[in-house]
Amino acid sequence: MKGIAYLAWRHALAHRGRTLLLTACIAASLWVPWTAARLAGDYDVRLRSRAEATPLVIGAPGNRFDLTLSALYFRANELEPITYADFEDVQDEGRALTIPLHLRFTARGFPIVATSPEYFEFRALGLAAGRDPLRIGQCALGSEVAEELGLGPGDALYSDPSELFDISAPPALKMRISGVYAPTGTPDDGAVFCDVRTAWVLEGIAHGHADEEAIDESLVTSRGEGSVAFSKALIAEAEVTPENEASFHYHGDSEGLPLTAVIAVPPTEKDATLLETGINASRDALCVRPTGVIDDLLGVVFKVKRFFDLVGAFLVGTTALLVGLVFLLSSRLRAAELHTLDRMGAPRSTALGLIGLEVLGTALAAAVLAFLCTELTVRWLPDLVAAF
Amino acid sequence: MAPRSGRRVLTSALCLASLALAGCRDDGPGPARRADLRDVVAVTSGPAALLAPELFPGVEVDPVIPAGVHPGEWRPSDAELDRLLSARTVLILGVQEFEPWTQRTALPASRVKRVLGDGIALLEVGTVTHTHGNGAAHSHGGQVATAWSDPQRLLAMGPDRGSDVLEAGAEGLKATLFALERAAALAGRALIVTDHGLEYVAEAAGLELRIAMLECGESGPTSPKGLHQLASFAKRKDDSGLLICLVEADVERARASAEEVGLTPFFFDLGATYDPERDSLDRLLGSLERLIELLSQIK
Repeated sequence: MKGIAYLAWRHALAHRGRTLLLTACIAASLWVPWTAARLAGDYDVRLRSRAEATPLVIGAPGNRFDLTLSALYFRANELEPITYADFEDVQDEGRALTIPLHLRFTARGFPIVATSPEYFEFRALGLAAGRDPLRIGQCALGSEVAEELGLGPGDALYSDPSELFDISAPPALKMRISGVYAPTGTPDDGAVFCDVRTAWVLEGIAHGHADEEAIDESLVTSRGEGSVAFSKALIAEAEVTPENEASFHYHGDSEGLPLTAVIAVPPTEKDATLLETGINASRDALCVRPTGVIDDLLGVVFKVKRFFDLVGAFLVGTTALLVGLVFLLSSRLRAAELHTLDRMGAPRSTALGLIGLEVLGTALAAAVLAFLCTELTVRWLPDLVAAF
Repeated sequence: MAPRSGRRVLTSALCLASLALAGCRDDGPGPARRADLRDVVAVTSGPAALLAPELFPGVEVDPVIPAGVHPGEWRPSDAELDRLLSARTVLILGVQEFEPWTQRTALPASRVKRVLGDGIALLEVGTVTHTHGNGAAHSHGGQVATAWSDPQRLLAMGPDRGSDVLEAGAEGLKATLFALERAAALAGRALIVTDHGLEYVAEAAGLELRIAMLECGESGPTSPKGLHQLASFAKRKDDSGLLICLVEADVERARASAEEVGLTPFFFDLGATYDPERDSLDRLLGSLERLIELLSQIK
């Protein structure tokens, strides 16, 4: 380090307090707008990428925002169900890969996403351990759920009771965990996955028959011809085991079984348009393009962001003026020092270069600090998209 | 010294910050890749194995269900599930009563093809109260899935362009059912059967079925209700004197009960199970011919 660079460095070291204070002030004024921009950018990219990866969502006629946010981000919803027949109708049209979704239940607060094996392939969910939930009563956990609950393959997870005070409602289902998915950075990390047939058990539509011989005799109040009466003390705990799995079934037509939504993945834009217009023209169901819905939603969000951008720009401008003032006043205090340089025969530009280097160095250090703080903030902040 | 130590401090701070940022990248273990799809048609019953080469000519058929296991009793193992999931096409009949495992197993709906689609009207059976061995009586009805035992429906289950194999099979089936009708006219038009499944044969050959819902389980057909029902059927007029069991193991289980009421148990192979040696149609025709022979002896 030679010449004025050495002098600038020595001056900064000699006035550590002032240098650090200035660096921190500039870094803070940069950190706030940079972080906001990064978060907004990530938020935008991730919301759009999830929407862009999901060409069409089909559900009951109603609020398109609710339908999209439920199907993409598993938000709690009050959507009217569609039937399995609706799903089969779309599938039979042959215009798209169709994936059923049932999203009514939760397990320890996490959404239960009941679907078919195509969902795991469609979202490219890789298994960190175990297997996909391929049997009734099994579930697989998103990475965050597994981490938060400390559960893994072979453990059990209870569904949350749907009606706490309704004794006629189906009891909580003890689900066996078949696997854990690797982190994806999407809402899939915070979900519990099972086959759609398991959701019908949770609904009380599919059920098993307990072996009456296996029940404690003290709980049997009477036995008649073809009937057995049990005590109220017998509280059903639903669990599908290899022993009772064969007894699980549902009566009647599978076409009436409920679903929340269907994800449709048409191979071409033409198929997407024909499918969308066909479904929406029928008025029995609603077909939306998540990209359009998310665009509308983000349009509102980014109007608010523009206001914060202005605030950020004002903050940076104000800080720049204050820093300028500090250096101006500082140069007055350093008049004797600069005069010495002049006497030593240094050119006039040396004094300007010295102050300029100090400003540049402080600004550079502040920018590096602001960049590091922004990166750390973005990484340590809770995942906004997953929590959407 | 001072400038050097300042540089060191700055360099160390930058290195630490870089390490901190790098350490935040916790992507977890690498995701396991699912197996690629195999260009095969996976089948889970005898009739599906019969129809697969006609519906998907030139495509390899992968019989996932073990030979001799009835689809109604099958619980696919994890390895068998993997084979089903990795097949480009899974061919099932599409009747829940015939393939109850489909109610308990995750199937990729986009790759599942149903043989018995909307175009084929299936016979319906009403609710019948019955027992499983000593278990409590219960009831259920549903569709009869054995549509391949009817010549017209067999052809409808095949490809739209037609199939020489199925047409020849349907012709043979039609002729055998006609022979059965003639044999039953002499021996008695009523057949006592332990379960549903012979409805299409009965319809084509003009027979009356008496379904004794013994559903012989591991505990045997010892239910007093089932035995009482069997005895009342056997006493009626126009009875052929045969107790037709649709599951091979039931013949032995039902033997004592059948002999008690003067019936001869007989295993009728509808061809529901997969057999690598003989296809479903061949076994069905064999059973029909054996039935004709037995009825002829009764005459």
